Amino acid sequence: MLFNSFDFGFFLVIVYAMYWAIGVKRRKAQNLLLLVSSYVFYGLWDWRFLGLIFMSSVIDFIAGRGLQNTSKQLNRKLFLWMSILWNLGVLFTFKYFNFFLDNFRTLFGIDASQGYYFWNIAIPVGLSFYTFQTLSYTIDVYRGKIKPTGNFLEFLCFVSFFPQLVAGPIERARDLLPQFENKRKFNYQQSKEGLRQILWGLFKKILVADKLGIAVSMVFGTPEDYGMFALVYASLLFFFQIYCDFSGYTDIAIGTAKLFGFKLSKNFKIPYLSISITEFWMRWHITLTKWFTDYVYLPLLKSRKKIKPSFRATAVIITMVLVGLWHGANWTFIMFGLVNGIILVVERIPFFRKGEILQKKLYKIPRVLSLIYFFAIAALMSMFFRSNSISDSFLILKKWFTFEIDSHISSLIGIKLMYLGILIVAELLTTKKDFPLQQLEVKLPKVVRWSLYYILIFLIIRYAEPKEAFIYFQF
Amino acid sequence: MQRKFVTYCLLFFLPVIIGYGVVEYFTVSMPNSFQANKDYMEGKGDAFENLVLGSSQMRGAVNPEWIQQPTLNLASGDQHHDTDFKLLRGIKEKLPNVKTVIFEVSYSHFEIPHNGKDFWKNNFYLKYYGINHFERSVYFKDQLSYLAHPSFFSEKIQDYYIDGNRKEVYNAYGFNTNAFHGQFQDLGHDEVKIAAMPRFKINTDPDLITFKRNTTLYFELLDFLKANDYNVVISLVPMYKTYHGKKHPDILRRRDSILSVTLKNYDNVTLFDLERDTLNFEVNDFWNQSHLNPVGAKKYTQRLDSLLQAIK
Repeated sequence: MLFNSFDFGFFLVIVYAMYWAIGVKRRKAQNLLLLVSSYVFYGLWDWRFLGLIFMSSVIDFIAGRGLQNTSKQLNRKLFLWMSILWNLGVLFTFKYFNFFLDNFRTLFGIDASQGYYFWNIAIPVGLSFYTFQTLSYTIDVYRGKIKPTGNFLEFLCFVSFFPQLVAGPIERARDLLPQFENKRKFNYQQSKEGLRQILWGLFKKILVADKLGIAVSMVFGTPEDYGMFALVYASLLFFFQIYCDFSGYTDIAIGTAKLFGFKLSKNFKIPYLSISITEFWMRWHITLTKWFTDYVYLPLLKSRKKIKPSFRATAVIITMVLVGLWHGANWTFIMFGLVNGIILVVERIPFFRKGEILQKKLYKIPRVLSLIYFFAIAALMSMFFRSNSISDSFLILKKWFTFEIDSHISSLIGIKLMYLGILIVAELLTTKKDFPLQQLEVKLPKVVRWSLYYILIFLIIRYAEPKEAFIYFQF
Repeated sequence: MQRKFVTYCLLFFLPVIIGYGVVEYFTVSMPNSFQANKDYMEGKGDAFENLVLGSSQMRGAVNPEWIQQPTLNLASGDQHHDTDFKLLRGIKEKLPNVKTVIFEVSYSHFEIPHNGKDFWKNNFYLKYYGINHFERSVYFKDQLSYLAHPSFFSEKIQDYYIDGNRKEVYNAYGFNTNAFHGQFQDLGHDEVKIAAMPRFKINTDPDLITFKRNTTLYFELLDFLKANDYNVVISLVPMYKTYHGKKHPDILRRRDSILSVTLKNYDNVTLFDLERDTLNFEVNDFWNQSHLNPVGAKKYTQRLDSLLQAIK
C-alpha cells in the first residue's frame, strides 16, 4: 500500500477512527490494533514476507531478554551475534546474494550453465529499514544503553509500526519503544500538524519528485542520446527528485504518526543548503547517518587504541562504501558510497595555511563558490546513484567532459521546474520550521489557509500518476 | 477537542468529495472504448465468433466492421499478454461461440514487463466487463474511473470539454473511427519530417529476465487456447518503415525464434505477419511509427478477414 494512494487514505481513516474509538485508557488494545494494521499494511504488498518481520522481531526480542538475564560475557556475545547473524543474514540472502554470486562468477570465469543459478526472488519491501531498526535494539541492549522490553506486543509494534515500516525514519528503541509503553493522548494541534505534514509530503512526492522523474528517466534511460548539458542537468534534477521523493515519504510518515500521537525522528534538514559534503550527511537521511556512525564508524575507531589519520580516513571510506551498499546491490551504489567517502576524507585534509581543512574553508569562501562546489558533487553522486549500470555511469562521466552541444535540453525544461521552484522558495522562507506548512495559523487567516490546502489538493489529485512507488522502498 | 477535529475534517473534506464526484461524472460521460465495447457486447449477446486481444496497436488496427463474422476487439492501450490471458479466462463463459482468438506478438512484447495486478486499467475491466484483474477482493474505489489515472483523465477532460478537440467517435462495433490525431498528422504525413524525428517510443533494452517470465506465460496462454479448441491467429501489425531500423537485433531475434517454435508446436496457430509490409501500408495509413490510423485499419482488417475466412 503506497502512501500516495487512495487505498492508504481509506486505510488511514479506518485505522484512525478505530484507534481513537478504543480510547487512551485501553493502550494495549490500541497497540494490538496498530500491530494488526501494520501487518495488514505490509501484507498487502506481499504477505509472504510478513514471516521475516515476525522472525526478526522474535529473534531480537529473545536476544534482548537473553542479554538481560545473563551476565556472562560469552553468553552475552552469543545473543548479540545471534541477532547480528540473523538480521545481516536475511539482508544478504534477499538483497545481496545474486550480486555477490554474479561478481564471483565473473571473477572466476564461471559460466551460469555450470550449476550456479540466480535466486529469482523479489527483495522484501523495506527490508533494510526494519532490519537496521531491530538490530540497533539488540546492540543498544548489549551496550547497556537501554533496558530490554519485557512486553512482546510492544516490541512487535516497535519493529513493524506502519508509518515508518517500509522507508524509515530508522528509529531507535530508546525513542520509539517508550511511546508504545505509555499512553498516547489526543492532541488537537498535533493532529492538525499531522494532516498538514501529510499534505506537504504529497506535494513533494507527486508534484515535484514524480514530475522531475519523467525528465530524469528519459535521460538516464538512453544516456548515449544526450550531450553534456542534458546529462549534468538530469543528474541535478535527480538530486532534487530523490530528495523530494524520500523526504516527501518521511513527511507523510511523520504526519501519519502524529495522528496517532507518536513522534518520529526528523530525517531531513533542507540538504541542498549544505556547504560541504560533511554537512550534507548531517542534513540527509539523518537517521541512517546516525546509525552508521554509531554502529559502524565509531566501533571501527574504537577498535584501535591510537587512531592515526590514515586509519580514520579508511574508516570513513569503509563506512561510506557500506552506506552505498545499503542502498542496493549494484556497483553504482558502491561507487556512490566510495565517491562520498573520498570527498569526506578530502574535506578533512589540512590543505590550507595554519592547517585549515577544506570543510572549514568552504564556510569562508563566497556562497556562490560553495554552492558550485556542493552542486558539482551532488551531481556526481546523483549520477552514480541513478545510473542503470556502472558502464552507464562511466559513459555519462565521460560525456560530462565532452562539451557536446545538446539540442534536446529545451524539451527537458518545462512546467516540471515550476513546482521545484515553489518548493525551494517555500523551504527557504521557513528554514526554522520542520516543514513549510507548520503552524500556518500564526501567519495566515483561515480563509487563506483553507484556500491554499484546496489548491494543493487539487494539484495533487490532478497530477497524480497511477502507482508511482517511492524510490527508497527498494532499499 | 477530538470532536472539533473530526468536525473540521468533515467540513474540510466535503467540498473535496463533491468536487471529486463532479470530475468522476465528467470522466465516465466521455466516450471510451470500454463503454463502446460494452454497448456492442450487450447488443450482440453471445454471437461473437472472433475475439481480438492485444495492446493499442491491435486496438487501432482491427475494426470489426470489416470482418464478416461478429468480432469483438478487446485490445486496449498497454494491454499485455498477462491481461489478455486474464480477460480471456474472465470472458470465456460469456462468449461461448468464439472460435478464433487473435492476439498480438509485437517486436518487443516478450521484453516489456507484464501489466501485473496493479495495472491502472483494472478499474475499467471491472467496471465495464465485470472481470476482476486485481487478484484480490475489490471495493467501491476499484470502479472509480478518474482515480484510476488522474493525470491522464485530467488531460482527457480538458481535451474533450474545454478544448473540444481529439473527440473519440465510436462506431457500432466499438472502434474509434476518429483516431487520426497524432504525430504523423501534426507533421502532415510528410515523410521527410517524419524521418527527421529524433526519437520515438520503441523498446531497445534487452531484458532476459522479463523475456523468460513473459515467454512462460505466453506458452501457458497457447496451451490454454489449444486445450479449449480455439483457432489462434498471432498478429504482427504493420510498422512504419523508420521503425524497423531502430529495433534491437537481439530482441527481434528472440521474438522470431519464439514464433518459430510456436508454429512448429501448435497446429491451431496461424501467423498473420504484415509487420514489414511497407508496400501496402504507406505513410497515410499510420497514426505514428507503430500504430495504424482508421484508414490503415480498414486495409489491415480486410486482409485479416480474408485469412479468417480461409481458416474458418
